[in-house]
Amino acid sequence: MTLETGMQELLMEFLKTLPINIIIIILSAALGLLFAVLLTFVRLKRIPVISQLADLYVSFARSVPGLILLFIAYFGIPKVLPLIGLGTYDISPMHAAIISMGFYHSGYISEVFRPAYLAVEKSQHEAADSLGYTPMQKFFRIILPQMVPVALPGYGNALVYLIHDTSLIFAIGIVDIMGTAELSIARSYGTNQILIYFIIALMFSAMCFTTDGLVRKLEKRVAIR
Amino acid sequence: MKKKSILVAASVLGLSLLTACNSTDNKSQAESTGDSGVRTIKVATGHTSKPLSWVDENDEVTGYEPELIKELDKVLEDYEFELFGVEDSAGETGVATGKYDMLAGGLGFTEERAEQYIIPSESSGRALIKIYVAEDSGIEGIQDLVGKKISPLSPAGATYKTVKDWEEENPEFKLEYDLADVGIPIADRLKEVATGKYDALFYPSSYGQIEIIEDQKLPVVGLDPVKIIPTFFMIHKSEENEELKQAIDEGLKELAEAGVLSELSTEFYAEDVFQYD
Repeated sequence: MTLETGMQELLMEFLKTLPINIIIIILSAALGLLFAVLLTFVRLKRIPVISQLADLYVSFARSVPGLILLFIAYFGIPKVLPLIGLGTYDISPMHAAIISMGFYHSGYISEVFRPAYLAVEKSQHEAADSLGYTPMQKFFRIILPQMVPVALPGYGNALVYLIHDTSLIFAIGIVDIMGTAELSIARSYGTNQILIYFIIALMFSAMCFTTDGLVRKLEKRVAIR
Repeated sequence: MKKKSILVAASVLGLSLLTACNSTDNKSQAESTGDSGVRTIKVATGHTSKPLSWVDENDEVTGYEPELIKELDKVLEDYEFELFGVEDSAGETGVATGKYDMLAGGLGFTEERAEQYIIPSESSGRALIKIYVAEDSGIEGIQDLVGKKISPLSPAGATYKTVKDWEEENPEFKLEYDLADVGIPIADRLKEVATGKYDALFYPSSYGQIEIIEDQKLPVVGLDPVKIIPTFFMIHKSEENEELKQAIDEGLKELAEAGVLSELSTEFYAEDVFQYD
């Protein structure tokens, strides 16, 4: 096999497994976003005990390395579920990856949303209240439009970290682009290591670049004029 | 218009989540409901440790250990084996927690492992610690390495321990080497010996050295092993697995007597690792 055909085959294999990374990124980003909104709400409401628990959760999710979270989800969930009476369920690697990445991401972006909410001046709340807005109207019409421009840059960063963290999922046997790279290196006894890591670096850059572009576009659209 | 696109996006997301769930659910269902009397054993093994165990181009787990498991599957009628290629650390964690029933990772016996896992009495293979030297170096054994440049040893693992034990037994010989966890592929480390950067390299022989030396036409040879370490499957500690251990012992004995272990060794390591016993 010549180097060129070898490279072509390798690239095809990378492209074949790329959707796995994309699915995990999209689903864990969605799960993370949903959970982060809930977390931020609970934390801002300052409900006794629950808010503190939410603070603890955010701190834990942000401080534990991604690989450990992945192992906790994959090996820990099947152990914990029977203990809390939810029966036995053997979690698949894909689910473990989405849950652990979503968990990690939610902690991170909750810490982006909270300051963004607090950045909206108090007078804005008061003005909305004095005009007779309901809490829902106030949030969606006055507060959220001012929150989003503040939160977006931080949110974009968090997405980039999330993309980086998907490079860990091969550890539990999901063959994504990083997995394809590692397998290919192993099959050739490490002789093509540098080249393959270089290709992987380019692919991750492309994913981050695209995400960054999308977030920037959104930033421009919602910029406070 | 905006609302519509949000709705579409949400339903696509929901659907993909559902399909993701479905595809895996089917699998786990099939795993748990085996035919009556036949127990399915989940075996974790390395996915990038060619030729010990790796995932090939057809996404098939193969290598010395996986093929041995497939042979066991044939001789043990009450058991069916399912292989999972994962990282070494994930394999060990998974067998400790019971996610997998067994680990086929070419691991040697240690007291710590005996406490954590059930270890069969029959070994599954041999880990050979060998010295790799240049063909014309004149080095014939470990005692010839005094004053030679030795490639750095990884502080973790059996290789360093082997060298240290030998030094303790033979205090008249003083070897010089650095400790470093070198992430350099074995092919490059053999090249360092070929080019004379180092005079000798201590390494377990199960990393495809013979094939690499042949493929890359390196003027390097592996000397007879300094140490022969029997390797074992590690079984998750539980009552029902005591029976599994018995079965594995019987199966391994049968396969060893029939010469299957030696055949597999020659196929994957290009030599019979049992010849040095």
